[in-house]
Amino acid sequence: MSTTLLQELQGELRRLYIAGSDLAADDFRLNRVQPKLAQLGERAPVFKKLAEGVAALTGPSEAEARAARLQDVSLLLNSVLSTQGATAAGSDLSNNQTEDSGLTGLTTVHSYRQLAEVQNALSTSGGGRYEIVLEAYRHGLFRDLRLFPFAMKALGDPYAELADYAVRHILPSYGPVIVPYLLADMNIQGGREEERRLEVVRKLGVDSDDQKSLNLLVKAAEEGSDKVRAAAIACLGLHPDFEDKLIEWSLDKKKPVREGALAALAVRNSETARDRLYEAFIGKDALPAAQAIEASPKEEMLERLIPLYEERLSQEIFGDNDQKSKDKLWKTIEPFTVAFRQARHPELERLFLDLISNESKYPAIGRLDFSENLRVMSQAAKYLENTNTEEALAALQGLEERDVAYLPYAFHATKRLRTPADVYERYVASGLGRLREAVSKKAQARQNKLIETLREEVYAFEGYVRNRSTRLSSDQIAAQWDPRWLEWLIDRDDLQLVAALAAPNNPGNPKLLKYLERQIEKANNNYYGYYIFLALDEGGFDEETKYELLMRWMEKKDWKKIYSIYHDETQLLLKLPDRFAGEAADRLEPLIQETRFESVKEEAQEIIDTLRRRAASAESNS
Amino acid sequence: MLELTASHIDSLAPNAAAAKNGRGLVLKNKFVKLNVSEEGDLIFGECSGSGKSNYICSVDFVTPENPVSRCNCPSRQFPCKHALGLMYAYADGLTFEKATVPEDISSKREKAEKREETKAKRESGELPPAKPKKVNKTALKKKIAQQLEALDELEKIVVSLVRGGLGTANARTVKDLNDHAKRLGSSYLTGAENELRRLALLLEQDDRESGYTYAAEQLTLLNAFIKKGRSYLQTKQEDPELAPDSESTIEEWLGHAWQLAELKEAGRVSESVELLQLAFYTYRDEARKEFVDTGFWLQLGEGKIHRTVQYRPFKAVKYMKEEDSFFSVAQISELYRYPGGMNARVRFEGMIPRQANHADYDGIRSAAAASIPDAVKAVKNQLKDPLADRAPVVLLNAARVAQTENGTFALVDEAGNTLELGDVYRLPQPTTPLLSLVDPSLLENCAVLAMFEHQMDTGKLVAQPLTLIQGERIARLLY
Repeated sequence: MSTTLLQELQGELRRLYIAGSDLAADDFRLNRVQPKLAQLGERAPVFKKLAEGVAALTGPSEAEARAARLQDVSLLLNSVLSTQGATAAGSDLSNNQTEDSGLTGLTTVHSYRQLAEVQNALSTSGGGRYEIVLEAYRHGLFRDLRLFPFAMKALGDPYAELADYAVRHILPSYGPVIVPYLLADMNIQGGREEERRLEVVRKLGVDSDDQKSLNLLVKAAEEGSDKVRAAAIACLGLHPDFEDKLIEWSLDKKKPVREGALAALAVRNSETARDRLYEAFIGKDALPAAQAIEASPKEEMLERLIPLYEERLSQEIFGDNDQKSKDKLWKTIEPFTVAFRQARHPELERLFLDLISNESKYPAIGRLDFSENLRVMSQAAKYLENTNTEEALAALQGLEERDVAYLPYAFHATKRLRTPADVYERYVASGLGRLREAVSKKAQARQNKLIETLREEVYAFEGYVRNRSTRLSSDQIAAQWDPRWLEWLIDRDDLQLVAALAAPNNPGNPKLLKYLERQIEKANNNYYGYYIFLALDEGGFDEETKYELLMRWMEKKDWKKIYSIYHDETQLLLKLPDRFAGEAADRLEPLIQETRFESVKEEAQEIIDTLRRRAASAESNS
Repeated sequence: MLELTASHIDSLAPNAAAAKNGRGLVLKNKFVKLNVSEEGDLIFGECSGSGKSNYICSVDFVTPENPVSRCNCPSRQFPCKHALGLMYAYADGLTFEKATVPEDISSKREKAEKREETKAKRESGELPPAKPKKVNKTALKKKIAQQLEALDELEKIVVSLVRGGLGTANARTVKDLNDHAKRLGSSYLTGAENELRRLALLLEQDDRESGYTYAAEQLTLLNAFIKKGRSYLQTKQEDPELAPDSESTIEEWLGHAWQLAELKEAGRVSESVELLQLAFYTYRDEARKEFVDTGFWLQLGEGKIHRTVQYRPFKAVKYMKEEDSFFSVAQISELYRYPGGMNARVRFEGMIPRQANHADYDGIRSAAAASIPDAVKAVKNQLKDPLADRAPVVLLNAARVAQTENGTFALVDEAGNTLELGDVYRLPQPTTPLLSLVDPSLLENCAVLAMFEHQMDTGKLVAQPLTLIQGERIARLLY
């Protein structure tokens, strides 16, 4: 059967469907097809029928009948064509076995409901998607084959946080095998999405044998948009063949390209690469070169830079110290502070130690602005605080004496090297400290700094939020902190730190209890409430005391004004031991009469009911 | 003793959120009381909620294939999260105290038992059968006349569209079509209503070129439907007592929703059947304004591929159970078969899951068609009928799935015949790109479940792989 002819007829009919059957009369293209159909019709009746249909369609007739004819011919043709569909492979089969994708560990065990939620999240926009994807990643859902294309798609997600999450976690979790897939989908004229894609590639590294991927990278590096070029060039650092190109790119006219090339050269770390990087560092591209070294601090490179830093810091500068000359000086110093951010090197330690012990040997620092000076010195102090050497400690303590701003570094180093009692002695108990504190403004500043430092030491930060739940355990407190701190902090009235350092068996606990009782009388805010009861718990006070204080806290509240009961408080009430439950309910009940908000009343009533139930069941059990 | 697995409970849940919330209740220890009946066929308990009193809920397994959940919470989802939580708690092995069945439940059980009894008696002829529904002949005649009239109207609008051409279609045409579709619906032609709306959607499509191809196809389909529908309705008009045609799909096209009793009467019930799901997907059918959950199941022992279809109207999505992939074998006492072609729709009420075993997997292999040309022939035979399902699904045996020189994939059978794989317009997602990612060993000597579709513009019969099966390894490329 002549499928080509039928397919041709199908095309003509489709044209008429679009143009309208009214134009079918004497359609010359159909008239040309018709005789061929008629000819074939002599052998196959179906063609004959089609030929008749086409003839009727183009022949004279009413407009409506013509439309019906078109429909009928088309119906018949579609039926015939449906039996003629081509199914065989369009080109030859390659004989080699399908290549192993390296992703064969991916499963297909998840159900529609599990997958669809994530797939929807990654193919739509709107709120709540980030959480879904995070959750899915945590539960290993991205190990499912069917989510892999969606993980790749996440790079272009309109919600940048989500795309960045894919770059940082989801895609790297597949391993380097996905690099060819990432590169195959790359659009070298693209923007941020492609930059992200290449960031993943750089993270995972391109296999040196994977010539196809390398070619794609080079193409992107040469012909891509500026962003793509820079990102692609940065991926090439590991491959020796591209060294010459990298050097060439590091001299490019466009800044992003130079940046990418310098980043790659820092990774490359060959003799030539280092020479070029050094050249850039002392030349115009000092900052990009410094950032490249920061990302990949190699020993050989550091060895060249450290003496230079020393030289620059110790140079004598004459003339006016106006803003212009300060800026000029800072420009020669700043790149080092950037380059050394992640660096570790014995020579660097020596330099920093000397810098802190003998600041006068380095006159250039003195000519810097206050904030810039602080940056240089803090970097040195920060480096030294974790080195655990006596010299570093001595130097830091000396620095602290000179300027209280460096107290945190010295405190940290002291805490690492000395016993808890010694730390306390040095910072609080030495007679000198006490005396000074009373008199001078400077001493006041010192105390404030100390309290601030303590806060850093005992509470961890999570993002910008101080996470209350990361308080050290009581055992750690007892082992690492002198018990006298507690009393000192009570005297300074810092409730948060008191709560942090409360521990069972602290001799200051009677005083702590009084202090907390005072706090309950005085404060009426959930913020205080949390720390008061945290201190009570951690201080190891008995249930009786805790119960009594909790009830006092509740009674102290101004029930007329509150519009909700805090979660913490609800939990505390619900955790009361059974033996107090009944009494607690009795004491709470009259309180809630005052409240004006129905919801508070309901909530409280619910707590009271629960307590009553507990009391009743405890009674029946005993 | 009752056996419950988490995956079974998942499949009972109306949606993922309900399952998650149910689990949450167990994790948060919200269950105050957990009891199981002496016989172990009822679990009940109390779950504390935000209110003063606890929710009292129970799940009754007295008919294990159809567990009944009861709860005094106001949720409209069944089972509600409390009942699901109760089951999860049981599956997790929490301690359930033995207790006597509460009175209200035993009375409900009795009532249900009585209902069953009378039903059984009616069937066995002990009791007089329930009064047969009296057909109001005049009303039926009137309805048919209205349907015929609506068909004429439909023909008019189709003809006018064909005369003017799709090229002239604009927003106004689309609106007219949609309005007309609504009128068809109120004249008892819901099937036609959906198809006309589908045409309107095709004309709205952004990619006009492919839209035209499918729209032209849709127009011829409407033509076929009008013709066949008219002659069917005319015979029916002459003899209103004629039973609905249970062999062809014309009733469904006209918008008839088969009831299980009707199917039973027409003898379209198979007893004690075991089904194994091979593929599942859900799509948004804008023309029907419904979500459609579709499952493809192999009938073990028979080798037929059935389709389960669940429609969830957009408006009622919150209250309806969203189906899910199902990995065990479903043991079904009564399987209702709809009229249709190769993958006729089936329905069942309640089933008992069991783990798939060796023999079941062997069954998949032997059910698969060995020769590509034979399978393709069967597919084409179905496609010849314009009103038949346009996307038949077939299970095929493949010696290997090979990559062609221009990068596409093709199935090769024992005799060396090839079948090119591609992506089908009717499925919501492509799957062929995944073939290059799966374990290559899976592509040798396997069975492939594929959906076929004839593409008018290219003249190709495209097959999209849905699932690969090799021994006991099943890789579902869709869901």
